[in-house]
Amino acid sequence: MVRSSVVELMHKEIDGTATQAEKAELRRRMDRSKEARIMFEELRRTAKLLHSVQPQNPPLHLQEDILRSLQLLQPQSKTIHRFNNQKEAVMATLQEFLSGRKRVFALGGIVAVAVAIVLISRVYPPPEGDSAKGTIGGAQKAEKYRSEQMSEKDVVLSSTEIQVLLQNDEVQKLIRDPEFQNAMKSDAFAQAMKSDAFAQVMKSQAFLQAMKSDAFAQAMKSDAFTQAMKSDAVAQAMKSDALAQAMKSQALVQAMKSDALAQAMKSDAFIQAMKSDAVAQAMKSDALTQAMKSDAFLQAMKSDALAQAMKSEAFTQALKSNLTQALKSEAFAQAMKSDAAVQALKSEAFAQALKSEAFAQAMKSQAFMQALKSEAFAQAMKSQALVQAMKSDAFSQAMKSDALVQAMKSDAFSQAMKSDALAQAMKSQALVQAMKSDAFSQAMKSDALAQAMKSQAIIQAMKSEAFAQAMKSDAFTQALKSEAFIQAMKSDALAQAMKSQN
Amino acid sequence: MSKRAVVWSILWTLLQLPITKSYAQLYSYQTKDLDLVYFGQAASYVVPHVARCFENAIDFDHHLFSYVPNGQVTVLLTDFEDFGNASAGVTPKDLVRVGMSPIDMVYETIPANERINWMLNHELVHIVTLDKASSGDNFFRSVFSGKVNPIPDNPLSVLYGYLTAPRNYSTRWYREGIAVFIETWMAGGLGRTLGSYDEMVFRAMVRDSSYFYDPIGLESEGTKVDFQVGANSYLYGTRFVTYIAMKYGPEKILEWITRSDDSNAHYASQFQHVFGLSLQDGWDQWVEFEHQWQYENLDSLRKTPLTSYRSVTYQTLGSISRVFYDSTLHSLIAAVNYPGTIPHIALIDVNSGKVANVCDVKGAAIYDVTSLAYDPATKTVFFTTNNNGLRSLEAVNLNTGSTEDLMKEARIGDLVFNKIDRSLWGVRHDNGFCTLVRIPYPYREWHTIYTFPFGKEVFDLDLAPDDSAVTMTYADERGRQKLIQMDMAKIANQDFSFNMLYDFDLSVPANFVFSADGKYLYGTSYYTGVSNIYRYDRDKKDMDIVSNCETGFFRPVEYTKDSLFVFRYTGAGFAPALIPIERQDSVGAIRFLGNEVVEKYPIVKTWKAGSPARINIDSLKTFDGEYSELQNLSVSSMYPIVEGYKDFVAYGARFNFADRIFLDNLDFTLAYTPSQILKPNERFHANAHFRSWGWTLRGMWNGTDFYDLFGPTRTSRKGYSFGAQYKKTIIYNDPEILQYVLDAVTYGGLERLPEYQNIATPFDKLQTFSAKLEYEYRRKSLGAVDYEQGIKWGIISQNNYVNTRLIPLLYSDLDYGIPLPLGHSSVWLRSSAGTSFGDRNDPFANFYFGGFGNNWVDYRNAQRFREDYSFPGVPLNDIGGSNYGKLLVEWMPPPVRFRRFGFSLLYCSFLQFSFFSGGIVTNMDRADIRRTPADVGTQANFRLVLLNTLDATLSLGYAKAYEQSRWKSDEFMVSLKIL
Repeated sequence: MVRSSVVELMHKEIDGTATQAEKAELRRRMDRSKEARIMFEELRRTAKLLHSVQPQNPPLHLQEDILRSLQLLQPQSKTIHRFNNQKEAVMATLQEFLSGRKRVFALGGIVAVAVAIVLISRVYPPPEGDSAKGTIGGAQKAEKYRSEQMSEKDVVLSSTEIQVLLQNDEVQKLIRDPEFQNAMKSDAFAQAMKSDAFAQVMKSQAFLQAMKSDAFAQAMKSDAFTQAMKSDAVAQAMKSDALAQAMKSQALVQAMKSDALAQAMKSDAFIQAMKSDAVAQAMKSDALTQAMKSDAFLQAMKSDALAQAMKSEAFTQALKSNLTQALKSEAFAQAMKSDAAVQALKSEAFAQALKSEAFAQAMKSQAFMQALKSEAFAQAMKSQALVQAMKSDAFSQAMKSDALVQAMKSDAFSQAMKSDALAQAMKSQALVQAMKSDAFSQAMKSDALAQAMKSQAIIQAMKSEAFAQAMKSDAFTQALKSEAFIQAMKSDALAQAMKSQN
Repeated sequence: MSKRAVVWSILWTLLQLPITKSYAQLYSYQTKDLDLVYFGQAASYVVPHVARCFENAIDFDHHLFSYVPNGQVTVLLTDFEDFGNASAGVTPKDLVRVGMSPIDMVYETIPANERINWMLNHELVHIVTLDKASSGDNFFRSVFSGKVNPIPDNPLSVLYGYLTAPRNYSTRWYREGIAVFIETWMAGGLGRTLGSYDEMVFRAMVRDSSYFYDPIGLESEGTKVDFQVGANSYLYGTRFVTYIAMKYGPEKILEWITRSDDSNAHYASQFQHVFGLSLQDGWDQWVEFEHQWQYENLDSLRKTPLTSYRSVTYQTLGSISRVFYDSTLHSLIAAVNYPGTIPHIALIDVNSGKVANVCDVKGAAIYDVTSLAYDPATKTVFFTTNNNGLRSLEAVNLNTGSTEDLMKEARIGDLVFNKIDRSLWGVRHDNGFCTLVRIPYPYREWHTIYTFPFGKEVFDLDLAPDDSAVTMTYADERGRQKLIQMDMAKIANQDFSFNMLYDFDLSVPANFVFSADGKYLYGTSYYTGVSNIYRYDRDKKDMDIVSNCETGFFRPVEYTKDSLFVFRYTGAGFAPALIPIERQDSVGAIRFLGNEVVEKYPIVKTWKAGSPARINIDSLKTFDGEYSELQNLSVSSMYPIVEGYKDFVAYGARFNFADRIFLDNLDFTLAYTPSQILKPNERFHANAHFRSWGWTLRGMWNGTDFYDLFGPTRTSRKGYSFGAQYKKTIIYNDPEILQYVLDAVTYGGLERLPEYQNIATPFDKLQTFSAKLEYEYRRKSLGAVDYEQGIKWGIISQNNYVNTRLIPLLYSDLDYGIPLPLGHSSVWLRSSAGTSFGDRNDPFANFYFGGFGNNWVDYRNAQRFREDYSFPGVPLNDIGGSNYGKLLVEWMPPPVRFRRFGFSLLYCSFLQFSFFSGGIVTNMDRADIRRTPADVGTQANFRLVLLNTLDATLSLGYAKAYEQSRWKSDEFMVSLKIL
């Protein structure tokens, strides 16, 4: 036996009033029940039959029956009574028309009125654009005066991202940790806390993590490539036996066929780079072959700094990694176009960094590669501040840290590099100064920071405007130089906090 | 012990105290008219918004009331409680306190848009109403260097206060009614003037033929004995003001409340001046109108069939929390709070209607009492305590009755139990944000799920039976309310998007809970203007109304598939009932009185404050930095005084200083006795006090006291003294308090003991050092005038150093009270015992007892017969001993409340009796000098209210003392305690 609720669905479907959910429910029911399918077909045939029936003149006795039944109705309320009166008036009019010569026109008029009533009831009052509000069944909505209310845009706040982060249970545990509290109470920290931006940021683990993020360091490296590509070294390299040997490799042959490479080979730097053994070795790798087909890479090849860099073992190793992908990216290409990148690539610090094991490791990380591809990275590479930072010893030191390497491998780092906030921050003088400090260098080495970079909560915070602003503040710079900050970076509590699932 | 050693040991002890600032740092953000003070940088994110809301409101007030603050208004932004609240005062300085937490919208008692905006709109109307001055007021403000705050130390301050801020002496209903009325229009009609809860209250009162309080009765009884207590001031006040506005026009309201040169000082006489009839007559007219208005609304509702219900209990239960039904116990489980009973978790037998007390709820909130969740498997009820502060989480087992503290100050409420994994889910309030949290078993820590953006508030959580979803009410800055659902599967993937199930526009969808099979959600809304039950079909995604009620139905919980338990609103609170689930085809709406105002006087539409975002706060900012109490210390007032010194009268002046938030207070008096009888070195007098955080420093030179003008107790003393006191609270878990007080004083030039006026001293120098540890956990029910149960104890070490001798005294007090079944009646045992370690013949080594201790005119505790040093029936200090034991038994019968006993400027609110009997034994180790008197007595206290706001107590007492087998003496006491 088919349930009445299912029959009701059938009627709705036939009438065209079923919602999507009801349609789906009906289909599901019919899939399971042959009886239901049979009934549905019968109902549909019946409905079709009824629709084909033409309107007929009502028999005279029908109007009498209707009028008689109206007189039997007892009004139960003013509303019902009025309705009955209206019905009586309509029926009286109907009777007049039906009994006279204007029968046809009357019927047409009645149909027209009926159609109008149906149409009006369906479209008026006009829906408010949201099916989940408005009238509730038989409930009459109370009338209350109200005018336009204030909205979200009327509530203007600052740095709510950090405040939201502070609601995180892990962050709250950190804040209550006595060791962390002691670090925060030092004089150096107190001085830094006088700045609002810094005060906000120092409560945020996201900030602490971002400061140490490999994102900064890695971004700087890309400038070096640019510089290297412009160097005479590359030109000379082209004359080298090593290069000659490399040229024998099929990989290089393939690469040489590209127009982009042809253009690149016109640069002195490229020639010089080709002379180095490291380059020669690298030239044998498929990774480099692929990279050489990209305009981005070839642009970078024009820099002297890159030429120098390409001579290093680290670079060779790096080329064996996923660096290729990064070199192909538009972001990298854009980055290589900036003067800042050019300058950075000339720096000794960068060159040193390229030689470091840490850098080599970093070059292997997916996260780093992703970061290199990001628009944020490209933007960051355009900043003079970044260039300056890359020239610093602190940067060089930082690049050697294992912790940094670890952090660079994290998805969190990759995410961070994509953030506009970070890009903005990296343009700040404050950051430049900070990166020159020993404190920064120390911080970059901490495990806590590495752990923190894995935290989603931190990443979210790093994307915030507040974070960007904080990074620009002098107070932040000062804080980075403080012993208290260093200690905080080393704390286990911080590391634990940074492991937050959120 | 040498004197030097004593001094150094005292200093060393003091230095160990947290003298250096371990308190939260204070900051200040200022404009020309505003000094916004806040704690810690955590609140800094919202400071500009608070400042904008202030400037927006003050700009509105300037245009509507022609009001310009005289100096900056201080706004103190705090996060001291889990639900936002605010208050305002104008004496001695304009101060508004704003609690930044989300507000409690239970039962739609507070319809509002964004809460900071709403609170400042409301509170600044208070400032305008109470502070705006006539030229006469300004004259006295210049004479007294500010607005005078009435203080108990010097009752003349009452008069000075009236001269400087007369509208400050107005009833609470007047202040709140005005503020609510104006704030509603400032928010474009979103407010309690058009509130559904307000309409319901008076509709129910008319339907039930309840008593309507008059203006005096409302303050005397109506705001004390009703389950809504102080909220009645808002309800009556708003209603009366709305009626007057409808009848005479809203601009007449402005004329009434705005202080100007041609206005009367007192708010009631100003009413007569503006409207041409007395306040009482106007009030009577409103009551008559209200009855007619509500009869029409009731008739409208009765046009369609009303939902029949079966009452579950014979009694109403006052305020009610979330409710659960346990079929195995045949009982409803809920927290209740009604007059005469301490708030508690109750088990309501649905068959017999009996209500059993499971356990008390500490710190119960009005209306919703506590946040409740229930685990039916283990019969464990989870509930929150300290609901008016920072909520803690506790649990009670219904089988054993044992309670357990789970998390202190977790700040989590809106609890719901997950039967699948036994976790609790809730909403945490912290620093202005709502955070959805999960509390895993064993409920010792919480984990963040999602923090909603500021301005978005969620409450009334429920979990689907299959743990697939969590539903809640979602309110935004516009005041719009939605019923939303978040999917657990999405949450697990860090996707915190939600589906809107239904948009209730400005009507709060409240208490929506799942049916047992998860197909439906049942909840309430004032969609029609009346709180009815609604059913949401999760499959059809459709909402139906399933009740038609005259007053209001709340807190539905499924009983069977076709019936629900609900709580029906009555004039005495909520009462459980059973109703059928029947889809209603037609439910009418009611009319709102506030709508009549706006339809008749559309000018109120122009009273809209607009958006605070339009304020360019950066251009107005004048300061943004640290707040220093000492640097902000300034004169708040100064005025002439008359005080008593021994049997003489001294004339002088008092000078009061305070910082903007009254953390630091300095006052000193200078006086002179012109009598030639006094020695010249006794004619000049000075008293000084400095209070800062927990510290009080005081000094005295021939100290005077106003109440010594009357006696018989006299505290004025010849000589000098310098003292320091430090008080620190160790536990503050309202009403549980544990604190310690350290006090050190040095005296010189003494004639008599500082604490015992009738005891002469052989030496004129004395140093005392005392340490007191005090604990109290005392409770009283709604409508009580005194504590009805609990415990209070103290241990005091007092050390007197005199004439190179150290004389320690040690004593302890213990009070224990139990309630009687009479209602507001209790019995208390008050005990005290002590001993000294000095020479018995030395007056400094003795304790002294005697007398009631009250002065003819006094300011200290009216029931001083309870103190350890009193013994009614014998003269003051008549009984002495180097050791003692004392016991007092006191019975307090139910107080007598007066609905109307007096007139507006002076009336009596209640009469409280105490009957007591006690005994004492002194010098227990010496039978030859031992004394063992007993006494029996009574005291009657009439609580008076002066000038609408100032409490006074007229006490009459009589006691007889019995010793050595005969009635020895008696004592009759009359005392008027002012303030």
